[in-house]
Amino acid sequence: MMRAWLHRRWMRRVALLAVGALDGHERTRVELHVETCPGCRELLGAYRGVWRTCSEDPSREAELPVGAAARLRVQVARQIEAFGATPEPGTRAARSLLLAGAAAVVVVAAATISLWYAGTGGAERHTRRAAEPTLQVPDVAFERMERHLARTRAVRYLAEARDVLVNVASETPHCDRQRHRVDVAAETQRSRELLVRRDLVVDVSAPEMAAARNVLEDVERTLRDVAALDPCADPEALLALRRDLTRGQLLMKIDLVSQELMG
Amino acid sequence: MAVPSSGSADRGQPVAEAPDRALMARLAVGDREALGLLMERHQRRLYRLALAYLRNPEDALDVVQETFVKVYVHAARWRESYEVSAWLTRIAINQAIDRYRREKRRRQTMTPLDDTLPVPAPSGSSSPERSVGRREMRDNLASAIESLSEKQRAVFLLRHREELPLEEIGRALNLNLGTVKSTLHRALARLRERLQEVRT
Repeated sequence: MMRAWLHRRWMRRVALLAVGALDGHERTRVELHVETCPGCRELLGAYRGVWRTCSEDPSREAELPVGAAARLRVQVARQIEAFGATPEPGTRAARSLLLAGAAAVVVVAAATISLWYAGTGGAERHTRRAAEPTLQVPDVAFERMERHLARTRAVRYLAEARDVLVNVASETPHCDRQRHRVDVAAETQRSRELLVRRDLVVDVSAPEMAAARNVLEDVERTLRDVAALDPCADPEALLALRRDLTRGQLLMKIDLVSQELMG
Repeated sequence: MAVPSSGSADRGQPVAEAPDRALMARLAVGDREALGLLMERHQRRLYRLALAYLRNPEDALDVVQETFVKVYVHAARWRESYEVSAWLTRIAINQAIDRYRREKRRRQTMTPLDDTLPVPAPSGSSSPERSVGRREMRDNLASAIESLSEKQRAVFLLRHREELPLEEIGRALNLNLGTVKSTLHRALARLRERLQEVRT
């Protein structure tokens, strides 16, 4: 019994040795033990093998998808602006400065992305590409890509909203048994986040969103209702929401519209 | 987002060459240009980390985006004593964990990473057999990593990818050192077991 317990402790140290997390005296101690313990020696070899194998994971070499870097910059800038995200206290003094620079930032971001769209990465590359018209990608291709991206974003937004609504429609755990209250804190929080994100990820006025417009509006309305719930909610309020969901067949509509958007 | 300019950092350096600490200090007082530069420097690394954790490129991009918004909002929490890279990693891994929890159900139906990532480049001559072998290895590895619990996966990746010291991993995930050690051990044991299973 004691031996097994001791051996388990050595096994953990062997694992730490295999991942290079031991230093100095501790490392020497474990190395000495491994020399005298065939089981630990074998284990060390196996763990080192696992460590090496994991270096072959393709995500290790993955590059950001084409255009993602530019998109990220724009999205982060927009999110900071549109969400009214402000630095926490300590940086508020710089708020006025930030706001003054905000317009310029957005303009620069737009310029950056349009440069990227034009297939250029800087003045030098721009000039070179201008001399090689065969390398330019037609605007129509970018427009198609933009439309596809807009639809993909809308579908993802709908899927996330659907998850929230499914949770609302499911059995909900109690947060206060005595008062018969149910816990919807995660759903209210998520609804708020989604509502804030909606304007950024979905342009309802875009022509490719025509088919989804009504459902998007219904989803927004329902998310607002969920967001307005008390995190430790009265089950009656939840029941009313569930009834509306069932009556409006919103989950089914989300599925249908998502399929339509993805063609 | 502002693009790097020829402005100067506090110590007379061009902004684009300013060390991460100087950029964080600038961001903490609301200089958004510093955020653009930090993004350029760290977005690829954080994307790879999030991708390794979530196994889905779209989710990984969202995590990077959310991370940098958080970096901006919480810049004032950063302290000179913090390593910037580790601080960003800490935010990113926690964003990835949150996302993983939120989308656990949806993940079942998402495009597997295997179909969206390239097969690792061959080290020597290539043949169809070798290519199939690499694909199998990649699939097995993906499935082994996915079999880890969310905590095991986070601890493992922070050590394997980011080579963070165990104490730093503990701080990032709010775990004590003993828990980090045992979680890392369990993760290794689990990976070994899964990789052995697919070989036999």
